[in-house]
Amino acid sequence: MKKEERSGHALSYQEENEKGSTNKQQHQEETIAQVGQSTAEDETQLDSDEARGPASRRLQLARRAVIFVVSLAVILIAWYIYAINTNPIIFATPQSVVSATYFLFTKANLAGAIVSVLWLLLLGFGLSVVTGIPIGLIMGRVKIVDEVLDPYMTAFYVLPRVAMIPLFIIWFGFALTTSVLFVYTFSFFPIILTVAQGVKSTDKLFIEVAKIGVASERQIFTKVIIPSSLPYIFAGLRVGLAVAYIGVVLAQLDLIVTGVGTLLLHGQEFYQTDQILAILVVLAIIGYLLSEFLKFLERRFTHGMRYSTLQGMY
Amino acid sequence: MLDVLDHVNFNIQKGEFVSIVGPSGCGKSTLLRIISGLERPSTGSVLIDGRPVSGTAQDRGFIFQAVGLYPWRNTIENVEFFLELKGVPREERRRIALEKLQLVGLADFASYPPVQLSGGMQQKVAIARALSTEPSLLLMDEPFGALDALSREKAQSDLLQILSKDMERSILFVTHSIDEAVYLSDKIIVFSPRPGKIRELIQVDLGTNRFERDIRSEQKFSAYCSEVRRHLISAE
Repeated sequence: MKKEERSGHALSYQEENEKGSTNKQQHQEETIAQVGQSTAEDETQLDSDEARGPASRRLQLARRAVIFVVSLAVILIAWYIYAINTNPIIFATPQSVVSATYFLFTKANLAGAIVSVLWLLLLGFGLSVVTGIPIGLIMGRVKIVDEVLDPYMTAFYVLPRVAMIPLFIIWFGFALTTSVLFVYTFSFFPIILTVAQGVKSTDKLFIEVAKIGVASERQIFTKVIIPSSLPYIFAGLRVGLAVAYIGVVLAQLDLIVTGVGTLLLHGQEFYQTDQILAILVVLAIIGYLLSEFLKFLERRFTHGMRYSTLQGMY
Repeated sequence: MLDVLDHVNFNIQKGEFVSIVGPSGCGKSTLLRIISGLERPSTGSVLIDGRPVSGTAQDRGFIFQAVGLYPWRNTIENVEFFLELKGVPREERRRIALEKLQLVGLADFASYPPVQLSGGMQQKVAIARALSTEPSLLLMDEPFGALDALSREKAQSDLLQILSKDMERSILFVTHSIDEAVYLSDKIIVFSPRPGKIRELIQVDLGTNRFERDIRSEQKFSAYCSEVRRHLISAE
C-alpha cells in the first residue's frame, strides 16, 4: 500500500507544478476536505486511481502486457504480409530482419557500434547536463542573465545544427571531440531553457515563506527553487536525451562515419534493407530503454524529495 | 509611486490580538508585509520594542492566505523548515516541530504530505511552522479566507485555543470578515479606503477563552459587529 500511495503523490506533485500555482491545487483539496479533519484518511483514496492497491496495479501491468503483445503481433503480421508482396531487396520480412540482427551482432560487430553510440551519448549528453543545469538555474533566477542570454539561446535552439558540421570539421578535424560537441549542441539548449522555465515558475509564495524564515539566497536556491523545479529539470533531461540521441546517430552517419553510421551506409550501398531495419529496431529499443531509465530516475528523485528521512519513524 | 498607506500609527501590547479590517485595497495587507520586512515602506518606519524593522527576522511570524507549505516535504519537515534555515541540529528541531504539531493538534499527521490534509489543517501546520521560532509577533494575512464558512469558524476557535496556551504572543490579523475580527480580537482597527488610514480603534471586551462558549449568539457579539460595520460603511 505504501508504495502505491507514493506514486499517487508524485503524480499530484507534478500536476501542481505544471499548473504553476498551488492555489488551484489547494482549492481542489479543500472541496474534497470540507467535511473536516476526519477526512484525511479518505483523501488518500481519492488522491489517484493508482492508490487502490497492489492487486489493481498488477492488473494494470497485465493489461499493458496484453496490449503490447497484441499490438506487436498485429504490426508484425501487417509487416510480413506487406513484405512478402514486395521486392525483398526493397523491404525485408520480419524473419529476415531477425536473422540480419543475428548476423550483425556475430559478424559485423553491432555490439561495438552500440557501445560507440552509448559512449558518444554519454559524453555529449553528460556534458550538456553538467553545464546546462547550472546555467539554466542561473538564467531562471537572475533576470539580467536571462535577458542577455535568452535571444541567443532561442536562436541556437532553432538553428539546424547540421548546418554547423562544416565549421566543426574545420575547427576540430575528424576527432571524437567534434562528434561530442556536435551532440552537445543538440541537448544543451533544451536543457537550459526548460530548467530556466522551471526556476521562473517557482511559486513566489514558496520563496516568500523562505524569506520569512530568513533564508539566505543560497538556502532559497537549494531548499526551495531546486526541489520546486525538479519536475522541470527532469523534463529538460528527457527532451535533451531524445535530441542528443538524434545527434549521436547523425554524427555517426554524416559527420564522422563510425559505429552505426558505418553499418547503415553499408546496408544502403548493398541494398541490405534487412540489416538497415535490424539496426533501426535495435536503435529504437535502446532509445526506449534510455527514456524509461530516465523516468525511473525521476520517480526515485521526486519521491526522495517528498519523503526524505521520516519513513517509518512515526 | 502609489501611496497605499498614510500615517498609520498604533501599538500592540504583549499577548494582544489586534485585527485590521477595511475595504479591499486599503493597504492592510501591504501594512502587514511592511511589518514583516517582506516589503519596505517608501517613507516612515516600523518599530518593534523600539527598534526599527529592516528586513525579515525570525521574531516575526507570517501566515499567508495561500498557506505555502512545501509539497516536497512532509508535514513535520515543513514545520522544521525555519529551524533548519537557522541551523538548529536535527534532533532538536524535530523535537520542537513535534511539540508545535502537538500544540495545533496535528502530531498524528507528522509524516503526511501536506497535500493530503484539508485546507484548515494545512493552515494549522503553517501556524505550527510560524510558532517554531517563537516569534513575539505573529502576522496573519487573511489566513482563513480560502475556507468555507463552517471550517472557517472551526479554524477561528482552534486558533484561539492554540493561542490560549501561548499567552506571550501578540497577533496582528488582517481580515475582510467583520465577525471574524470581533470573534478573535482584543482590539479592532478599522481602515479607510486607499490611501489607508486608521478610521477607528475599537476595544472588544468579550472576555477570554471565547472558544469555550457560543459567543456568536451573544447580544454583545452582535453589538460589536454592528459597531464595526457602521465604522466601515462611514469609512467608504
